[in-house]
Amino acid sequence: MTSSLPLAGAIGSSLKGRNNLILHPNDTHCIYPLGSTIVVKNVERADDQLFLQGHTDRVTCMAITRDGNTLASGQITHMGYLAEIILWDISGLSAETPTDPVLIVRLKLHKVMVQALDFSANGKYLASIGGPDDNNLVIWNVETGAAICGSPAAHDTCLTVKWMNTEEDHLSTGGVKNLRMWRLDPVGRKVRPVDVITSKEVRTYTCMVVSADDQIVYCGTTTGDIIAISSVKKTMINQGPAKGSCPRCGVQSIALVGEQLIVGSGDGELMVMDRHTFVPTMVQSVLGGVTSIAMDSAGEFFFAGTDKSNVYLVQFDGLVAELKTTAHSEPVNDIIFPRSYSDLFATCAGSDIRIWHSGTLSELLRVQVPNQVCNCISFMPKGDAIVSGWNDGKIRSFLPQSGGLQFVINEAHRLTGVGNSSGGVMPSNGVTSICPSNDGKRLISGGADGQVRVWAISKGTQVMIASMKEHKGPVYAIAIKADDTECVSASADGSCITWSLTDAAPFVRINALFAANFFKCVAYHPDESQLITCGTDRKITYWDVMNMSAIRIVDGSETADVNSLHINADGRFFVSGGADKKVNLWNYDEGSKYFEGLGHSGAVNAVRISPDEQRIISVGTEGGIYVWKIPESFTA
Amino acid sequence: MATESIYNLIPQPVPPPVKEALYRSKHPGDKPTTFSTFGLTGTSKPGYVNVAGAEEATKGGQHEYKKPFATMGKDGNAVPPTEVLKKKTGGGGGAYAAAMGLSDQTGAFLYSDRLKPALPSKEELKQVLKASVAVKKAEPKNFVTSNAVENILAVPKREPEPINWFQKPHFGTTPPYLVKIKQEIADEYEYIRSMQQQDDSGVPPGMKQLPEEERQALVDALKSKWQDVNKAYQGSCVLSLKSLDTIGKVKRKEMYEAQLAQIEKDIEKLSRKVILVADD
Repeated sequence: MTSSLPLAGAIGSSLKGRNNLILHPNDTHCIYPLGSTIVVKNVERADDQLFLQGHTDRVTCMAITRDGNTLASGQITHMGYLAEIILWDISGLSAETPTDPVLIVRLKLHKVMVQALDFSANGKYLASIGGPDDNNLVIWNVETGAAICGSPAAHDTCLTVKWMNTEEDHLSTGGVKNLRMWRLDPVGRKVRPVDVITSKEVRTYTCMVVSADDQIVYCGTTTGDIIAISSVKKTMINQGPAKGSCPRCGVQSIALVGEQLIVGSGDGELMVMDRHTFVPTMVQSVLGGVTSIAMDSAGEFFFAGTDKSNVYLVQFDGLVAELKTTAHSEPVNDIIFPRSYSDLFATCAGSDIRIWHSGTLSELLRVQVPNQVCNCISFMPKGDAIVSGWNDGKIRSFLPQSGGLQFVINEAHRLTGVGNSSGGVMPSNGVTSICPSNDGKRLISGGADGQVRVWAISKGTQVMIASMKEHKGPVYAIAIKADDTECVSASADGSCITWSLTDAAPFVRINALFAANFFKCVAYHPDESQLITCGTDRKITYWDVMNMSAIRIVDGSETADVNSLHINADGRFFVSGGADKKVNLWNYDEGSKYFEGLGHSGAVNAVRISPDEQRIISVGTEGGIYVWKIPESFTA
Repeated sequence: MATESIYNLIPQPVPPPVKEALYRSKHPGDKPTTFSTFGLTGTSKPGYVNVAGAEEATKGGQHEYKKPFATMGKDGNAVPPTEVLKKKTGGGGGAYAAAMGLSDQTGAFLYSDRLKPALPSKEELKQVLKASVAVKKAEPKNFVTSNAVENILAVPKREPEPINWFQKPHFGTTPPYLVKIKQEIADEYEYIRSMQQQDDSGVPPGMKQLPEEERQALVDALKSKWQDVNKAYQGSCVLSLKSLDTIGKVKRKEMYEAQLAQIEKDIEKLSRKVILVADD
């Protein structure tokens, strides 16, 4: 009954893994993972995105053949299960009439995680290395999709694998205290290792690059030096750079252009050094550890991806870096649209609040408060401020164009301890929910301390006019009626309380509902006669506002919490997202699920329908922002 | 400082600048500038031209600027040196003579031809004065006679006629202005009295009757308030007996009912025909 929700766009890139950013040999397509989705993006046109969906969890590594026809991607999965490698036929990308990529085959052999992948020079073989629980090297035949042979990769964890450039049956692997060169015997179905002698140097090898003539393999280490080994003698022949000029936080990525090595370090430095002397000639700093370097075919430009999800286009001559795309690298906590304006939306993740253009999916504004975490954001109804709740118990308001700080309400909510009454760890502290009134004069905030507070907001002063203390757990959501007479707060203590905001009965509890549930989200149906809630009991529940009795209980998810809900303007449909990594589109009256969006690799933290009701935006713990198209057949 | 708005964050696309056509002045290029002094040398209009900034090039002066012969003489005017102008053969007299038609007059020019007669001399003037004084002395004025003659011939003065007060209009009656003032005073008293009589008609002193439209407005407002309170009452959770589980709910129910009863009472009171309200 449920069909798949079409993905219209995505912001984000999971570049924490090494070499996850790939430039297609046609130099126009950038390929990178975003959660469990692989994004193929046109370098020139930001809106030209393709999504490869097939993985069930976070994509950990990727590789592409030299001719650019086949892509391999490996994933992580639950403990005790087999992690898949998927081979994709992407030859349609560079064709005259582009065709969509096709999933060729799923290769299942590694346990839990695929650590690294590499194609041989002629594209005949694929080498894969399993994660720490598996730690096997497996050689696959790309054409048939069958495993040729496998072998334990090393005694300790293996991290990287690289084929030689010309010899089709030689490859090398590196990892924690191990560096090996292998010879493949395809007829005898064997792969035989030789340990490289590195004399006294004991290193953890993270990345490798092979010189064009196959003579030397350069291995980057977590120590920050580069070790050159001879592929003939299988011994270390050189080492550098000198101690003072070493890349800090280890070498995370390495590439070779002619006689020059490009090295990306864990603290965000790009270095160009001579491959014989290892003397750095140029250094450029970028934001975040450089985990991927993707050269273009001419060797003039390369893309550098960092673990802060920034992608830079760097000119090799002079190392001039230009920020091409940026995204959240931390869990995104909230997303909000300005009132009846779909052209932009704001998200908050970690210490950042970012505003994005809905059309181009580009960043318009970024506000940062170092070392704090923003839990919730909202726009004032007139659009003259972004109000946000932070884990230090403060409410901060920012100007929407300059991003300047408008006001801070200090100690808006009391900070709680790290544990809660049931012994669990509080996922968020301080101000956990925020909701402005529709007249823009008041602000209602809910905190981890269980209090719901009403603030009178004017140009110069912010005064608390009521503090309503009834909840025993963090208040995760607040919804207000259109006429500002009543609001409802949902708390993790298993209750939702409606509060009167009128002068007739100021700031008292009107009614409450109780359930065995950590409520995560609450919303009024637009006619305000019903409430809809979700939480850790995996149910979506409809409630009567008058007497707070449950009207209908729907299974929001079979497996996991439902974290977020949003209902459209006329109440015909609503969207939900949860820890099952799915975004679901429901018909309200029928209470049935029509569409299911797959793409997140972490829990969905917030979902929202755009005011024009064309799109759904969902954000998740993996840092991705997904834009889904609401099918026209559904809205019509 | 203009307040910021999220709705202005997205920069609007700037339209490409439209290239305008090459500027061509509507004024003629050969127009002399205002107060131009070009080409005016030797003309009858010295100094400058086109003070008003006219479009058309204006002529400089009465005479055209002709100086092509300034150095070389007139074209075809090469008179042989032998043919010089002989003495007393020209017209003579210049422009004046030409104007007076004297140009063909032969003979030398004489100033005496155009002189006026000489003014009388000092001696002649003395003679004339002496003669007039002598005439006056010969005939002295007889003031007595002349006075008598004047008085005899004079017309006697007329006395003004005395007013006959008995003939005056309103004789023996009260003057109209007094009647008018007395009438005004009486009217004033009458008006005050009528006012006082009106006040006495049913309304006690210090009170006034509420106008009908004001009363109706009050009743309407009370009715709409009753509806608001009733809506809140009906919409709240305190209706059913089952849900009256807390003191707060019971109190709220009572509060709503008391409010509704009070409003109903007020409406009833205001529904009477005559409503008197105290002044101030």
